[in-house]
Amino acid sequence: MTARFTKLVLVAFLSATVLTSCQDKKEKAPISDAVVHTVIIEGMQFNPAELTINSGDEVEWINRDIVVHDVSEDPGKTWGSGALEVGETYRMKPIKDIDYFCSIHPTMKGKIKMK
Amino acid sequence: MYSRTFFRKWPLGIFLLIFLFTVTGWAQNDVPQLNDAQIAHIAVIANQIDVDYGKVALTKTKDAEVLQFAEVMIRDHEAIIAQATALATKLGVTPEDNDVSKSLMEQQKTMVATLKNAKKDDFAKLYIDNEVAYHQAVVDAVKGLLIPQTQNAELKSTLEKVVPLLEHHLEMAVQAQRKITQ
Repeated sequence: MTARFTKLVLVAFLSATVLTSCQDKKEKAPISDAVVHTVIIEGMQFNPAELTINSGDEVEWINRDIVVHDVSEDPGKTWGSGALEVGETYRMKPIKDIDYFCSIHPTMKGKIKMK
Repeated sequence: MYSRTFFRKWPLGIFLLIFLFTVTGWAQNDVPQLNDAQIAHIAVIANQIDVDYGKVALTKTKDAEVLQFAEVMIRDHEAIIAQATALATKLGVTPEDNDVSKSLMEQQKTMVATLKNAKKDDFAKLYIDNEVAYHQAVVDAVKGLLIPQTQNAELKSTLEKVVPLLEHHLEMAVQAQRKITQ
């Protein structure tokens, strides 16, 4: 009887511990409102050409045009996607305002602004 | 002698006049009537011609900007040719030779010879001036002649998608022209 009671107490204790642990994790999990914004490359334009995002958001460019493009920092090309074939995508998480362009077709330009 | 000098100085003007008067026939109010197979052929030939000009540029100039421009022209126009060919295959259309594409090829031969024979110092300006004139003429022809006469919706849509690219090439060529002229 005592052994059975001990088992019951042990099971109850473990269950409570596990539940508490789960609850803790849920409460401690960072609440993320990060969003992935999409920029479509089509008709020799970045659409939208100007985008305002929150810190932590990501931006994904999708090449839906008929020729190869890229996404490069304007004007220094300090970062870039490399050549994006038709249908390919490039994703990044900006940490500051950026101006970018297509270095293959330099009159195609875009901006990302941080809120 | 006079005609040689004139032709050396004014190949672009002649090209443009021939294109506008005999190819589009707009000045004579005699617009050629084209079917989709002929339009597909013209689209492929017109793109191939600019690839050909770009390939001459790669052998004739060391100007980094002109070389980069030529490489973009070759890559973009080859991509369009591939798409036009794939579309024609999908639609079961065999591109059909016609008077417009024949005329374009004749002009290509003349211009390629002119570019190949140009002095190296003169080449960049000659090539870029031709790119401005050629893209302007092609934009006008695609918008004013080919798109209005195209019957197949998919072919028409492809031509419409090419227009922003051609206009962008024209803008790039005009900017390059300004730099060379300065």
